[in-house]
Amino acid sequence: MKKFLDEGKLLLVAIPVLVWTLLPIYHLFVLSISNQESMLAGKLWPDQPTLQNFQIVFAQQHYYLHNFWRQMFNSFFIAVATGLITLFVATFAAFAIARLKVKGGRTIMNLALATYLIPAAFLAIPMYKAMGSYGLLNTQASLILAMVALASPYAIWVLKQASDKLPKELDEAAVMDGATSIQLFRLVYLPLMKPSMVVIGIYALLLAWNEYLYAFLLLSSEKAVPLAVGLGLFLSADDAPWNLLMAAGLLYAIPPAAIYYLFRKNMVGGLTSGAVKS
Amino acid sequence: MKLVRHFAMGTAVAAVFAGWSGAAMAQETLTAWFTKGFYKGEDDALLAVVDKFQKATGVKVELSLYATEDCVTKSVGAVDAGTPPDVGFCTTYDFRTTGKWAYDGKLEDVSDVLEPLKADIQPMALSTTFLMNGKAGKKSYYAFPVEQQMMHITYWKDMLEEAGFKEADIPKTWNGYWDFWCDKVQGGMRAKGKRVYGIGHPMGIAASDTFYSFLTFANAYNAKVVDENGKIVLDQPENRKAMVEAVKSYANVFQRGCTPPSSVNWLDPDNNVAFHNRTTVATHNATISIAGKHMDDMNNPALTAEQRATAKKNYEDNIRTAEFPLKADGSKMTNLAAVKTAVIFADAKNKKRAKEFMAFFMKDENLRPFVEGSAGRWVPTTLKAIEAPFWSDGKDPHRAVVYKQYKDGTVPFQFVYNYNFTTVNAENVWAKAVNRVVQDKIPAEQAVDEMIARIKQIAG
Repeated sequence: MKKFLDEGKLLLVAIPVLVWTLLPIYHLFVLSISNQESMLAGKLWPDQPTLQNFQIVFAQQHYYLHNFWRQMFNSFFIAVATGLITLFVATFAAFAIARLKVKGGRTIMNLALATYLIPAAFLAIPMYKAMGSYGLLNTQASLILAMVALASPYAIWVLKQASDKLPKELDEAAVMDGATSIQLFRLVYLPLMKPSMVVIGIYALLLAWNEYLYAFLLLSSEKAVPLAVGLGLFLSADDAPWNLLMAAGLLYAIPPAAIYYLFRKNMVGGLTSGAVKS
Repeated sequence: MKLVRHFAMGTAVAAVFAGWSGAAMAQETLTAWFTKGFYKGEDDALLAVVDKFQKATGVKVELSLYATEDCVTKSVGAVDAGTPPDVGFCTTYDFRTTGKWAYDGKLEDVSDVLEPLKADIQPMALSTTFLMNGKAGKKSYYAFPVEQQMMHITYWKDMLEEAGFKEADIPKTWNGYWDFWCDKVQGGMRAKGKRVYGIGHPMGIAASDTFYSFLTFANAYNAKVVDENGKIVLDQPENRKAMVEAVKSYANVFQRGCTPPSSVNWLDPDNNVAFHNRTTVATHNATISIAGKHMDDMNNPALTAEQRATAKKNYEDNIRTAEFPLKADGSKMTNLAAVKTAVIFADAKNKKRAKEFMAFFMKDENLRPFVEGSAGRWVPTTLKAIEAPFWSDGKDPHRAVVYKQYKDGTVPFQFVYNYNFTTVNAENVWAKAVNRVVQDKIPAEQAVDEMIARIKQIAG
């Protein structure tokens, strides 16, 4: 009886949370399969569901979708580049701080964490100014560098915590066998850090994939912006073709969901590996 | 070996950075930020101007097009960072920033470009660009009047007929007009068992539609808020009284249940949505975008033939664009117009070329296709362009009404005389006053007194 009551309580919480979470996705889907007439009717399910909107998006037949595939590619490129560079920076930093015990490592860790006290939006204008000074405005490099700057502190922190859990004896044994620091990094550290690195790579990738503010601030050309900014064009007028926007939005949501699904096992393992200090 | 590796890596990184920044230095450039047009024709016209300018001058125009809100947000960020584009034209500059930027000395004086063009521009539109520079302590021309928008009534003719009325039955007097939609048309539809509202009446505090609509009501009651020197005159007894009547009139539509209850929370697209899904028979809107959507659909090759035919029927027959009725005192309504302004920034890197570009852009042969490319959403500011057949031949039922409204006369917003009214509008003290009456049930007189006090705090 007690078990039944406990499960009932859980369900009372779980069902509203589930509905709350799924309702926007359901709304997104319903609008994406609605035609011009029924999209504004406020019905729970369209009278005549259609795939016409997806066809228009795929063929880039609406004026706001002329760069759809290019912008989708831009999103991929920026997200993947951000993920790889963040991994590069964070793994080296975490290795240096946690394993090589470089001087000032603890200070760097604290500074990295301190950056999280400032919301990313507050840094947008200074970042814009900095990129302008470097002549990088309206280049995808500016957005990638900005995203790496935003992702790195958390990445370093998580990887450093995960590094601390690796047995010191492995390093000592490798050094006894004559391994250099780079060999230690490549042959011992990297293979053991794989699950955490997958998590951090995906974290940085999704951060860049979902980014809007920095993307529209730092990039100007329609051919250079990621899809998130490209889709913002739909809101230029108060008569936006919402059904097309939702169809395009649904397609834009698929890659991150697929990535999460592919790496879900690593995600769980990797996330918990840096959670507590052993 | 290590040293060589480090040197190679450093050189590579430096080369990449140099490549990124170096390419832009090869040719003289001009940076321009514009709001992306809703129609391809609008952007094509702009691209044609840019192309012609590039060929004539050899200057590369780096043109960026942004969504409406992004455009102004990005511009504000760039101005604050000291790295603005050379030319900016976002369609909400006038509502948000032009007056403030001019006052703060962020804009270049463009009198030398505008002076030779003055005779060709509608005087009211031109007057909106004659702005105060607080740093210089004088007024001058700090913007270009590119195009403008006005308020219109839109209604479903077929729904009106379904309610048992003809277009000729629509009264011309102020109160009679709103009573007609409220009681007769809504009543007629309800008698047929249809849960339809007579009017889509924007009431949301977060919607710019609400303050545009409300200020049209205030205009109908001759409630003057500021004088031409920017001094607040709303507290003068006759203006206060007129504003009380305007608040009562605006609130009355909601209080009588003639607009959907959700209209108190409406954002800008919501009156369009309610109209398109036929929840409301009529609405007021700042551009003919509602009809324009159906024109867009009827020309959209991606839609089926049946969908295009329905849209064509709606645009040409079922949907009507109309003027506002006569003012409350029976005089002719003058239309509140928002003039969309282009600017050259004081911190721009290439002000000389920016002025050349704007002088080129403002030429009738360049500006007219750009404005007409919006298919009637934007109205010209030049005397010649408004007389073009596109507007004056009467063939398009919606544009013909816009033309007539233009001819009836336009008046500017208060923020033209006192830039602090951009804040008053952003805070939407107008909608707040109306909502105090309909939701908090306070008398309109008290709501207007609160409104005056707040306006004085912001703009006094």
